[in-house]
Amino acid sequence: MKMEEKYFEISSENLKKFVERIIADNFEVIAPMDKDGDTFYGKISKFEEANLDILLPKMSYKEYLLPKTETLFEYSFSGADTDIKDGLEAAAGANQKRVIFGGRPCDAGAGPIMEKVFNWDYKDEFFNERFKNLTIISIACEKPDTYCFCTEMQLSPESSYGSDILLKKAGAQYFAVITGEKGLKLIKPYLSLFKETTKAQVPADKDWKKIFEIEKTKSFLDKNFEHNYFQDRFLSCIGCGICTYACPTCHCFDIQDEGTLKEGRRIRNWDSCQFGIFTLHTSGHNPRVTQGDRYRQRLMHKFKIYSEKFDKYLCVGCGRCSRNCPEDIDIKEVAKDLADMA
Amino acid sequence: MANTKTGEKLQKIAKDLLESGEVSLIIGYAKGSNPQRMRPFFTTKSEEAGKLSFSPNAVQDLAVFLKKPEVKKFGKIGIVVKGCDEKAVNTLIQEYQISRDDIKIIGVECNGVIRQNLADKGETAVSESTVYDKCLICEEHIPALYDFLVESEEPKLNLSGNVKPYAGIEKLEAMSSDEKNAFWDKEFDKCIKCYACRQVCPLCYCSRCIVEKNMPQWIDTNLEETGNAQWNLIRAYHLSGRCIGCGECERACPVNIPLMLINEKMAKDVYNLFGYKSGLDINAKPVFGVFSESDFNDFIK
Amino acid sequence: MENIYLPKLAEIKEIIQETTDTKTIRLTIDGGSIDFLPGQFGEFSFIGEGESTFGFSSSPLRKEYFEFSFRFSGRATTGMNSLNQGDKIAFRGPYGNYFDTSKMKGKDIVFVGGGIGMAPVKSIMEYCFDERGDYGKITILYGARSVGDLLYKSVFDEWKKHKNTDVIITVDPGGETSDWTGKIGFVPTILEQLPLKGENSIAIVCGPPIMIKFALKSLEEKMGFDKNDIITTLENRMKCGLGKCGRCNVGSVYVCKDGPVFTAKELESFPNDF
Repeated sequence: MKMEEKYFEISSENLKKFVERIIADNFEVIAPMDKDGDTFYGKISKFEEANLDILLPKMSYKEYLLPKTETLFEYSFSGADTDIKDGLEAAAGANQKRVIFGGRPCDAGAGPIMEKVFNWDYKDEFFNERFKNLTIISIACEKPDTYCFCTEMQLSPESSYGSDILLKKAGAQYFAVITGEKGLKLIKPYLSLFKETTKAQVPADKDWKKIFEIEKTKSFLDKNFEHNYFQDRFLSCIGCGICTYACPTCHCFDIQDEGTLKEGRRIRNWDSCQFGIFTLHTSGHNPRVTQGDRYRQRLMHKFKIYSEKFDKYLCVGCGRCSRNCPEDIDIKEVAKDLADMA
Repeated sequence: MANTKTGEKLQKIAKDLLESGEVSLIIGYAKGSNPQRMRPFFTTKSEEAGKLSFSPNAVQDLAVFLKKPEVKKFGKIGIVVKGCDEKAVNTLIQEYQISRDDIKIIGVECNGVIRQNLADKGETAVSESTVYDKCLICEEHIPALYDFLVESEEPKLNLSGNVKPYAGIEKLEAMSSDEKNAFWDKEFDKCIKCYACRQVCPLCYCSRCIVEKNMPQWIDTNLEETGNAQWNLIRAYHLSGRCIGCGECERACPVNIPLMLINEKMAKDVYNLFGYKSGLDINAKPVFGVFSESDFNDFIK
Repeated sequence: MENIYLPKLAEIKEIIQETTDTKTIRLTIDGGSIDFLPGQFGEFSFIGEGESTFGFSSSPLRKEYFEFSFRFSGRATTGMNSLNQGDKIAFRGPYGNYFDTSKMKGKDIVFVGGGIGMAPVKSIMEYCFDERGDYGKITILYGARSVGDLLYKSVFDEWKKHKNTDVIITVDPGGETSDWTGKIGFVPTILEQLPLKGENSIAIVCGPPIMIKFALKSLEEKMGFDKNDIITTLENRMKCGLGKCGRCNVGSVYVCKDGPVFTAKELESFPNDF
């Protein structure tokens, strides 16, 4: 049975102590860090290394749920015999001592959304093991930027969906919303740093406004597969995979064998629907010929297909695809355009 | 964004070219998703030419679109280019990818573009500390080749010499092989193989890239040490003697790998060894496409 | 905890060289076949060279083996081409939906196959042969570009032996040999010449997209088949076969899980994304 939410107060000073103590207790703490002129998620060795002022790191922390490359199994040959070693053993128990600290509600929302595709019918235990064990502490956003649209995507800058602990800043202290057992388990040894409170004490969420209705975007997509918009608007798409790889919810992958004549491994690698080869048949036929076709697929998958199958849109509105697009394709603007045309 | 003189001139040229039928498509810049961004703009209609503009935020190398099949089908194309980007047009002509007759080059005099990550954080000044390194060493503020030229309204970049462009190259050159390896191992470890460096490069035009070929599997598919190093090295080699230094690969790279250190080092070596700079002359033979008796050959033992 | 990507090793019982570039491989696991249904597919691999997706081409009622046919063109299939009897092929599956035989019972069945697209047709066809009494008249129309491109030549005679069964083999014009006794003409053209009626009939069609397109048209418009009674299988590039990897979808349909078997009626509702 799902645990009821619990609420705590914690001072900024104690939050720092909490993070330093879990680091001392051998937790791997992944937080936004200033690196290479930008901010990326990385392992911090002390609290000060975390940049909690940044809105969002450049890339998401998807790789902790779906590694860039994951070994599905290892193989070796001796004479006529083939030996196969299950790769799941290595993934089992992954993330047990890993904490994401200082991510945002959008990133946290990605986990339970992706969980659906990895569990319809066939259960992908690689994903499940990593997801089950990862503890996510998010900080509610105070100032989303112009690329953010989590509110349109059924979340909000203060949403606790997918977070084990959501921190909400209030002056010099934070309120911690503990959403379930995992969050509670993490703070339990350090409870002296927290002070339990009630929901009524936690500042209410602001009234975040939407600039378009995602249902309208979907209803346009439902009826306009062949619309000129896709070919015209995405003439400027160069077909790189940044939007999909920066995306916290894009999960498409490739399966490949790699090794020597004696041994090797079957791996799955991140892949992208924006690559021409993604759907290329052996015969040479390709269902998606133009970049317009491919970007349309991305929109369809996010705003139509996934929601029809799994009742959730495959997008958390983090805006990373827009901020990182070399050719300045802004998905929020696109989704709004489509909604306006519906 | 207010209509600047540069913008007005561009609009006039584009309108005339489309109206006269000299081109069927114009590729230029228009305002982007925030006031500090510009984006590629395509139009076939003269009445839309008014959307064209230019600013020190026009970072993209639009020549990349000349390799795209969906764009090529338009036939005759007018393209807005900065000096650096125009070198890509020249190289594409030189390598028989496009015909000079099919391209109207609308050159824009440029005195530097602001690094996009700084612009996104609000930087508006064009200065030696805000522009790309390529701007600091630029010798083509006015494009090497053009059909139309639009002069800049921006003042010339004031170079104090305090900012050393591509300073990392000298540091790398001073390193031992092991140190260099360690440096690049760390950088390539970040790679996610999104292939943005390839896709954004105007000169990476192979219809099937070597990473998409698997008989044999030249490049490991993994996104780990071996696959990433192999990919980045082969990309560098394929561009040696060809890269025109527009820096788009490094700008696009979402994980900030300093790719220009590789490209610029290659360009520097090619110049020192062969006296060749790419992208300046459409009639020149590509440096690795010709043999000359005066080429150095002391590597043959 | 089960690793859904982990294959089982199957032993090659028999290899049939069908044409210069295609083979049929018969496999066994623990000395016999596996449980599957006609129309389903599996992921087959020569470990080290990667997986490929193929539909089963044998009847699941033949318990001594399961088989698939493939053309060698890529890395994985070239690897499999190098294997011999007794070697191992890694297999996972079966996946996907299947031909609903309960809908077919008591009816006349038309099987239309083109080239290597005959493989899944052969599976359901031989299934019907194995339970011959359950079905009415069976018509088989199979075509390929040339005589040399026809698969399953070794079992044509076996097909013809069945009662109340017409077997028509055709090759594209120009693809015939001097001793060719079958038909000459494209599959849809020959199809239109057959005395078929849509009433109480089911048509199963598989082959290259262009053949499917015209064959469906003929069946619907000239022979009065209901769109629900024309069944085909779709092929799209696949990797996982499990509805995860995200590349085989046609609109909102995942070919690997919602398919690969679809009726012409369903096909009609799909966007032009295949």
